[in-house]
Amino acid sequence: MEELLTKQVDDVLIVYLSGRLDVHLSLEIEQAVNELIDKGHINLLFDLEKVVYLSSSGLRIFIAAMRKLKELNGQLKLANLTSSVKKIFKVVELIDLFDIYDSVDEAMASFKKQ
Amino acid sequence: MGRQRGMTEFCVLSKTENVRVIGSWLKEFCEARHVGSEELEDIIIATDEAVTNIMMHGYQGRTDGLIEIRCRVLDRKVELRIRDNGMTFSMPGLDTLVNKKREEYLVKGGYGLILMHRFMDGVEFRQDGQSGKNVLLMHKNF
Repeated sequence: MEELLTKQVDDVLIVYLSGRLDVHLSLEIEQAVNELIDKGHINLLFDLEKVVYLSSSGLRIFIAAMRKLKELNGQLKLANLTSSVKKIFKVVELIDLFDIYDSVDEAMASFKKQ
Repeated sequence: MGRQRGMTEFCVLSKTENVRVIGSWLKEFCEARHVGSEELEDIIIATDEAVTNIMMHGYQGRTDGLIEIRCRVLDRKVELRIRDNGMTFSMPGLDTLVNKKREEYLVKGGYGLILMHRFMDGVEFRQDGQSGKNVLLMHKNF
């Protein structure tokens, strides 16, 4: 698969995901995110503005990343979730487990505070 | 039971790219029969989760398995029947799922089943005595 689209801002790596996060590509994306973490990127912000669909396979990307980053004292934040994507987090009761923000700017500001 | 507005059947191979094909097919069929958008979104996710389970667990990642999907739209209900020849795997009920601790989910997953149960008004698993096929029945009222 193509490399993930990312942007480094200070010590935060913004990862831009798009399209459908379903079983077809989610495992590859999960592996790509693991590689980013292995390269030392332990503060990750996922911008999900262009994610139009999320199933449980897509959720795994964030759960796996969160577990890995926790061990490394890293942080994971999500921004720009559409209502349908946010609904998935709510229905499986993970909305409070993740730091979710309405914008990248808000999420970036929260990194600086912590 | 309600008047039937339409029924269609679809058969796909257990390739993961077919999950979105199924979603598109369901969307087109149900929209044409005036199923509401919010209910349709739930139905598509639940079907995605069911089919993904069949692909990953029933057929264990094989791409040559067959998955049959039948969708019926009645006056106030959408019924789905999904059949496959894969391995039978246990599907816990919602009570069992919600009683799992969060830590178990984080390690072992299972969110797909939660989504199926919460998005649909009925989820039932059977085995067809004659053919031996796994049969998943789901319905959503609207």
